[in-house]
Amino acid sequence: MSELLNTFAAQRGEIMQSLGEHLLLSMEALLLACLIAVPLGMMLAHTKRAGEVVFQITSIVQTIPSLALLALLIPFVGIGTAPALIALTAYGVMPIYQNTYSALRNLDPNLEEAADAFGLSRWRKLTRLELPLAWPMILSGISISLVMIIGTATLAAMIGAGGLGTYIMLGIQQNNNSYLLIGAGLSALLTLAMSALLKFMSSSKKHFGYVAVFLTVLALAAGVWQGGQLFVSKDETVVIAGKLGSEPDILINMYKDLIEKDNPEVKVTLKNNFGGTSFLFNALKTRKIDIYPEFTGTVLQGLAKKPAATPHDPAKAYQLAKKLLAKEDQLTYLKPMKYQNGYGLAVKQAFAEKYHLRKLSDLREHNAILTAAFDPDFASQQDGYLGLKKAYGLAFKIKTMEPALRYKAIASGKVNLVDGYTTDPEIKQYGLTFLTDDRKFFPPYQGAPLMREDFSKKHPGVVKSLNKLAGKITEADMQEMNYQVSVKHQSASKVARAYLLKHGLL
Amino acid sequence: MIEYRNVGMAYEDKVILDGINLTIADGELFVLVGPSGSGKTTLLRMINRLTEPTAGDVYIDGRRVKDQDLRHLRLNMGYVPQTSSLFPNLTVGDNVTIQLEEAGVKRRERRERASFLLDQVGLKGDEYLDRRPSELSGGQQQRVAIARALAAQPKLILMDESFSALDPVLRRQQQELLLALHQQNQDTVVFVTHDMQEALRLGDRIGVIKDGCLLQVGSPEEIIQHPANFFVADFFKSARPRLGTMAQLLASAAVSRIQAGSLPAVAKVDELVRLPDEAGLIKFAYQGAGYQITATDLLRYLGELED
Repeated sequence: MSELLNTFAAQRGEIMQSLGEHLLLSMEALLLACLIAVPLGMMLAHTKRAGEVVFQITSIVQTIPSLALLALLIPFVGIGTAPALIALTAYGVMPIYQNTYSALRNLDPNLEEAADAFGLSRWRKLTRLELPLAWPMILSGISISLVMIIGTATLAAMIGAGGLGTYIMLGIQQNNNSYLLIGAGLSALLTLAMSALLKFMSSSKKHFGYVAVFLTVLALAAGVWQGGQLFVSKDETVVIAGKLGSEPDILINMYKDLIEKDNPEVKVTLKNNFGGTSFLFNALKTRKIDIYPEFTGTVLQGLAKKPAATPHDPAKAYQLAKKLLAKEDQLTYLKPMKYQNGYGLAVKQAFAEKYHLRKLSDLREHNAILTAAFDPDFASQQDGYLGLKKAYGLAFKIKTMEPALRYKAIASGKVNLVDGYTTDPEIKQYGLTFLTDDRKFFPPYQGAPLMREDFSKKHPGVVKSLNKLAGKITEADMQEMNYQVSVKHQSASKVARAYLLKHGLL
Repeated sequence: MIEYRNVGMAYEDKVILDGINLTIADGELFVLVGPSGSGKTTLLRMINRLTEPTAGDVYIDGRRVKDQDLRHLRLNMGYVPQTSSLFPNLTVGDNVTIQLEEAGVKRRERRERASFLLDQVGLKGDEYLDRRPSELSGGQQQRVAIARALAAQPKLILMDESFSALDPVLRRQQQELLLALHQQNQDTVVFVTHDMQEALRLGDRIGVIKDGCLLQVGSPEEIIQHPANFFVADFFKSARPRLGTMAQLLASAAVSRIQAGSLPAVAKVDELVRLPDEAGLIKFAYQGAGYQITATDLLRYLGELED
């Protein structure tokens, strides 16, 4: 609970921004859905066939899983807010249309005929009879749609549209319950609040008027604000994105500070926790973003199309990655930072001292007393434990468990060896130490800014600024910064700025 | 004046109406009566074109309804359906003046008119104007429906089984209301019913219809006295007064005029026979005039009527 409050306090600004994005996206989608569905329902209610056909189509749209709908839209409209808005609108249309259509179709035929017999125009019949009678049911359609849209909007984070889903994604990724609670809880609260507002609106004409005026003013303000953003961004905007987690967040904040200091004409927009590797890589190639930090090991193992043996020498690995990226995808890969963020095996410091453990080859003599907790992926991969076992002649007991649990297991003494990434904040948190990979078994993972070739040619100033980080930041530095952000809940921008100032880069 | 000229209606091979020729005069309260499924409602709906005939044409004042602007045609007609069909979302006042609203009459004027009309149908305007239809009883709702039909001061009002859903007491009240309003407004009313008592009570003239054919058109007396065929006779059998009509009785030589004075007034023969006699004489007033007849003559007259 206190952890949740700490997280909330430290990241209030970001959380509020996500909440705002979520609300804006949901309301835009709901408004669009209403504007489409209500008139459509009214138009088709008195037809024989067309209304039923549309009724069926909307039902079918409803059966497509929302995530699939989002994914299907990416090839057509790209990533970000646009596909999210389209998908949410398509989703929200169904209950509103179906309720409007059914309500109008099921009106008392005697009343309809009376209206005709009095010579009422189509419009007057609609406004004085049909809509008022159908209104409660249309409203219930809108409120179903509202609940669905706010819930489904959490998935928008997966395609870079931001919102509360960002925290749910982060929470799953990092096994962080605070994030999960913030994301899911706020989205539920938002649903409740908006449903209550809708109920209040529908309770009387006067209330409806108040809320409608209030929302219109709000929408106009948001529009002016967004328009203003658009205006400001006419300067020169560079979009930098990062993968999920604290480390990419810290790095892109450093990029922003460095670039904006040297290039006052450039405005940097950050998209933190933007998505997974292939998502960012595609976003970069399709010009949705301009720069993101990527690891040499990831390029060679995952992104390069031509399979190549990964060199164990970090410098060679970088050169190869750079060459392949330039050749296959016309991308420029700037010089990497110093630290490695690859696999490693860690033990408690006290344990290391007791058994004089410094490097991986020291483990061999202690096979009998070792029990390891490994991430299931690491335990089952050739470039993980299976290969490592052969390279170092290891044979000890292992247990596989979720990444976050293995650190708790070693902290509580249930195991005495774990795998991990070399910059994980838990290393500092639980007083662990990594053993040196003296036979250079693990592929090197060094981070460096990745961008399109045309971008790097057009922005030599940006390239120059980013190169200031080359060879900087040690593993201990990065561990410390990750610790500050993900354990101590400092803001990534503050931590990034402090590092740059301390090392005279700003 | 409404004219049906050779009007027919058929769905595929099913004939609903066949060769109808009928003229309804201005200012007349004309009742179309017949058993259910006879086609009387279809005939009524052809006037405001809720139903279009498949043969022949309907004319109003010499112009085919088919050629008239539909909205204009309907806006200038009153219509009272079987169920009151008040719009549940509108106030009583707004319901009454919905046609005026469509015609663009200003709100204030509409309220005045609604209040006046509600008074006319026996509901206090000020009290009922802003109520919802759901707050009214069935009879009150039907009164509002009549007020609504009168709102545009139409020359023609169509009534489709307007009182059939009401209980006998309420029905009677509504019939009286209709007759009074008709008397006052001198409008043309076409009234459809399956109830021959109602037809006799309301109609200046009655059209009897069965299986899509118009069997007879005439005044209530004509139809009762000289039914065109067995069906008409049978349909109105129970309606024929057992003791004859007052007109018949007064036509007989046994009745003599006297001073009206304070004689008991009667409307029917069966009321007359219940009066006490004064030394063998029965004295009564009928339509403002005084009459007397001896009990013996009355007995003889009734005896002859039985044959």
